[in-house]
Amino acid sequence: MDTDSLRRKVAESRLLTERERGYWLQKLPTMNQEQLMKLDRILTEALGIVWSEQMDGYLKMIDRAASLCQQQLVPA
Amino acid sequence: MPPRTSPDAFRGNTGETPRNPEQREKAKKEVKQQLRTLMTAVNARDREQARPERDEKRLKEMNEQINKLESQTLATLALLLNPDGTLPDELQKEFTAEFSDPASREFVNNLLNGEATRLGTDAENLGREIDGRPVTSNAGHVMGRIESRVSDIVDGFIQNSGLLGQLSDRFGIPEQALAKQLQQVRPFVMNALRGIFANIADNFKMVPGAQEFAIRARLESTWQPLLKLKMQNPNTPVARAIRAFPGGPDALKEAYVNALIGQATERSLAAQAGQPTPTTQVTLESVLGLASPAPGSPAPAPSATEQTAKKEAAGANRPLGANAETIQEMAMTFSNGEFRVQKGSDTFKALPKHGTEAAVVTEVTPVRPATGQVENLTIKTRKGTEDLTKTVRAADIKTALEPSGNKRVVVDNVTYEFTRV
Repeated sequence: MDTDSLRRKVAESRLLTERERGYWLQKLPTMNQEQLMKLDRILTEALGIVWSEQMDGYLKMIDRAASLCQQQLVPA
Repeated sequence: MPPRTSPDAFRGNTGETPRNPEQREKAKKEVKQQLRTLMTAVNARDREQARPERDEKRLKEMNEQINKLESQTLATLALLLNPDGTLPDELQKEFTAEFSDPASREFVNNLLNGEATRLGTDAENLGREIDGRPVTSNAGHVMGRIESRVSDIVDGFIQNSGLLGQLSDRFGIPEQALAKQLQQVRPFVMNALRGIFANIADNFKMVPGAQEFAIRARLESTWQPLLKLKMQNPNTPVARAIRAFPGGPDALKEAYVNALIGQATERSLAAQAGQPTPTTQVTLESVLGLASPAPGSPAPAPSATEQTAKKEAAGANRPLGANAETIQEMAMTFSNGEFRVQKGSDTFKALPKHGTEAAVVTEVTPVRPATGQVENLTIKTRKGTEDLTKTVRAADIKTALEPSGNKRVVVDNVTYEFTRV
């Protein structure tokens, strides 16, 4: 298990609170392989959720922008 | 299949990636839950790995605590008890309240009644067997029952008062270890309680005879320290006399109890007769025949044997009833306004009448239930505001309660009708 990669995931995870991040970073050296793999899987799953959320926001922003453009194009 | 977190997954290729806010919220919660579960497992593993080290540390701490506790036992005891070995006011109140409760009082009354009988306010009864059991073992049995009840009260106090917590905080000792220690301290506490119980018995004047009980109870709590004190210097006359006492320390204790009871009896009789209180003072030395009067001090007390002989001569071995007649195989109780006499397997309740009108029994002296004997009685009855005090002969009660008897005793204009219960 690549602990460096997992450490990065923990550090960058947007789902974790700062406290949780601190906890996992502290615990990583003492966790066994199975626990490390489980954490990696959970954080990967979490990444998908946050990514989805960001993409959703992005699409909504485009949608709003498109609406605004349409309103601008309509003759008064 | 692409990873669930890839853009493809988001685009709906897997059908698993949350695409709307509700789904995402649910997915977040699930992930958080998984993290919590993993966290628990990680913590448990950590604890498991740290156990031997922690146990060793803990053991060391416990040893230190036990050592500390040993030296603090007296301090703990001092916290639980007052310096004179009595209970703190709070516990005293609780204890008193317990025995103020009518049901508890009745319980104690019954014990005391039985006890007073068995201890025998009659000196001649002491040392004899009653119902096949030595008198002293009966006393121990009753005391055990009282102590058991007291013990429950103490336990309740310790548990409910927060005392354990306070002690734990003060000494930095876990409550569990402290509770264990207090169990070891319990005998000291119980000894102190014996004395306290005796005081309460005296204060409440629950039954005539409580005094005798109190004497024994007090001696039980002080006997060993007293003996130790007197034997401290083995070459003193008193230490030599103790060693030489026939029957050993137990016999000496009994003799001492007898002497103390005799002393109380004499004082009681003197008070009843309106005479000055005898000034003799029983001490262990006087029981051993060693006491010599200091200038201006009361005359030395007679020995136990002398006292018994003196009492027998004076008829004083019936301390509470000044009447001579005693009927064996009858017992009586007076409780909750009911005066009952037991004869053989039959129990009778006395219903008094002043003339033809029903009255109630308000006082019976002496109260000596379960004695196997009934003395002449002084019975006080009341009808309205009219109080009448009569002496009822035991022989008359016995005759009335014979199978052929009319179950009625008449004294002047008071009739005591006995009905089978």
